[in-house]
Amino acid sequence: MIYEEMTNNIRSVCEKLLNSNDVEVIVAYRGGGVEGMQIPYFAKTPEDVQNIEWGDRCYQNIAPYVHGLSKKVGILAKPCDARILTQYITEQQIKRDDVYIIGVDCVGMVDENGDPRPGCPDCMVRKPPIYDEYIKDDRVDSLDLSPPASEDGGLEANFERFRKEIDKCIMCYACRQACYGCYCKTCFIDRDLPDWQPAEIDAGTKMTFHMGRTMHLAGRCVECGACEASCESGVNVRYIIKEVTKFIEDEYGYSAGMDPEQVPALLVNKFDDREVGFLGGETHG
Amino acid sequence: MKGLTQLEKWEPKIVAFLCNWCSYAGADLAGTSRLQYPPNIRIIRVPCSGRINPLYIITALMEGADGVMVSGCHPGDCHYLSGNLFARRRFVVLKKLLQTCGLDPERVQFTWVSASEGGRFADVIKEVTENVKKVGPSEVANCGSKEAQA
Amino acid sequence: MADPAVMISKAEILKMLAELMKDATVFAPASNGKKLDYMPVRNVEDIVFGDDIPYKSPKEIFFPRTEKIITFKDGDAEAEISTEKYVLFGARPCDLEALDIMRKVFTEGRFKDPFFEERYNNTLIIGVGCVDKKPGCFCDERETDMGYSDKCDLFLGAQGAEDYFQALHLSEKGRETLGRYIDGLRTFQNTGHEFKPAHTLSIDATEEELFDKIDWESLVETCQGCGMCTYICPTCHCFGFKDVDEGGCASRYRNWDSCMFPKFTLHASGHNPREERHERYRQRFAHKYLYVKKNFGAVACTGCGRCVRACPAGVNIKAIAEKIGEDLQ
Repeated sequence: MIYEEMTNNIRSVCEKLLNSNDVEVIVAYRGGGVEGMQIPYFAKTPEDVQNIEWGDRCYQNIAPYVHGLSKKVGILAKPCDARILTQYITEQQIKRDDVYIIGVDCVGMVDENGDPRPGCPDCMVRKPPIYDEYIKDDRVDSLDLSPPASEDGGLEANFERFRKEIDKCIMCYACRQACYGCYCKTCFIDRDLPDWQPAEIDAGTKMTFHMGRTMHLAGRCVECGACEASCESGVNVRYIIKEVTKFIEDEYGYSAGMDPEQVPALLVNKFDDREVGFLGGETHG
Repeated sequence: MKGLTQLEKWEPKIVAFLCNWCSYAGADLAGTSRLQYPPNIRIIRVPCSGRINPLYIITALMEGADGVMVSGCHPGDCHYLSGNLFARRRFVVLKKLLQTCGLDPERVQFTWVSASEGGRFADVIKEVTENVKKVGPSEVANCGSKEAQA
Repeated sequence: MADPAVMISKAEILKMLAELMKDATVFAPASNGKKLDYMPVRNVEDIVFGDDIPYKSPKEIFFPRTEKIITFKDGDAEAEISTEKYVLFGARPCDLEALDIMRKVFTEGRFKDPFFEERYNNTLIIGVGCVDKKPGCFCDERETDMGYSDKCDLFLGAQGAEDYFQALHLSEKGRETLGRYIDGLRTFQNTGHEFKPAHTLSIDATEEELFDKIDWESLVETCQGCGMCTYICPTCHCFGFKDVDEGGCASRYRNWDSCMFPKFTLHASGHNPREERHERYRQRFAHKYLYVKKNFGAVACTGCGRCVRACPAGVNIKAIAEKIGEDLQ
């Protein structure tokens, strides 16, 4: 019921937008995916608007489609998508004026079996941080949000867990492609000078890839869960970036994608930053 | 017991990334001053500690190093003004990452050594070698080999 | 050889697999912790029966994700051809048909691939029929009979009452295995199997038509280029080589590659003939529906539906093939 109402609101906003010729295309969702999933959709004409759908199965993040589009776009942005857009603006990948953001509240998405999408259960941001148009979902206010518990189980358990997840990985790079932040023209793992390209796909190269990717996303991850959601092998290494993100929030007070004016944590420095883990210094708790 | 004696004989391999302007000169000074320090380190000279891609450190561990040491100019002394300050944040985060992945963060050591601190350089190497010895042989060095996977 | 069909029970199958495990690696559907996959199993209890289809195809057994093929030393090159014995249990008809296409590609073309061929010959393939179509499956439209395929050594019909399977041996290897491990066979009247494909999904067009008449850009605009489809596809078989210096000798590794990656076609000059995502998808589609058909006589898509289910962006090869069919008319 609520979704129908929201869908109607979204459709009328989109129709107005396309009629006014302010945008060339609206990135949104439509129905018709396998097993009732809602899939990304590019609406280009006012007639297309009738295909747009909003529901609890808008599983896929659509903000990454905006990256690299050289036209004015409208986008239906759930909070994680809005955070991604904010982050793109911060990183000067898109201009704020080039996107018209239809922000929409989100109570969490589910997959084809009705299980929550990775990242949704412990999401703390249920309202889009930036928007031009706002579609409200009343249920969001009554949600009981509590920050996720730390998943650090001690060195040995951590290593065991990492190895177990790594074993499932087939190095297809779907996590990289699904990730909003992996927009490098050539990923480090595809480089041959210096040669990061693995010759043999073994546990070591898989670890290097996942650790390298995590390091590149440190402080930039918006915790949308797309990496885990896109992994067909069921690999979950998202807990690593989650821990790192939490650390950066506590240490440097930076949350990715919340404020377009703020500079990412690893792109600035302070003279009196703490030297946690340095020789003879404090250690990571 | 064969294993035990092997472990007793085991000497860690440590890769040391030193910045050209301070720490490398510090190592030079330690050498010209005839200061003794453990021979476990293999020095790689880099222009600045800010030049060190965290991937270099990860790869060094994966390729068989038991420890990695990174040293640059003291904060405020950077030849490029702020390279080491950016590096500092990166290294702090990298240590957190290693901890979460289950690789002992003690394997990776960061510090600052200036060009005039030959004595400190020798002390730092002693301490780092001690620390890495305590942690033992790398758990990921053989990750690649088929035997370890089975 | 009398009627090749016999009834065997699940317990007998498990016993047979346990015996086979003694001198071969048995790959069977098992959980990888989260998903169902063809895994090397050491314990028959780990094998998952039922109608669920593993998320990725069994091609990895014959054509591994990564493989050291040649070692060079002192001017000599030595190929490393695996002679290990394998058993593949529980391959679905779509996988079996696909495997046959792979076999054609690797052994019947201009070049023979000894690595694939040796593994294929050393493997006992046991197929299992499907009961229901899973969401996204379109085997019947791709002329694949979900209940039967003869591209294996042994085929088990769908599980019947009281955990009995109809077993058909389709090769000498299969007959011998059945005779050795199963005693007191209960034969049954093989009534034959009827299969009528729904309408057949195929593309009757020339390459030029496919290139010029189709608006690929809008057809696959949501594709992220993740390449997941190629990795789990039972017929995708592109690979790349990489030589590495291993201190004193060098080795050549063969790894899977994917036409969905921009680097796949990148020339040394920096020019890339398939720079855009839709061009790469066009290549994947045309390879499946045109090129393999032209070269080996079969469409390299058996309708297993894996890419349809896996695609995070909802790109559906069946819908695309149908749309192209419409557009070309």
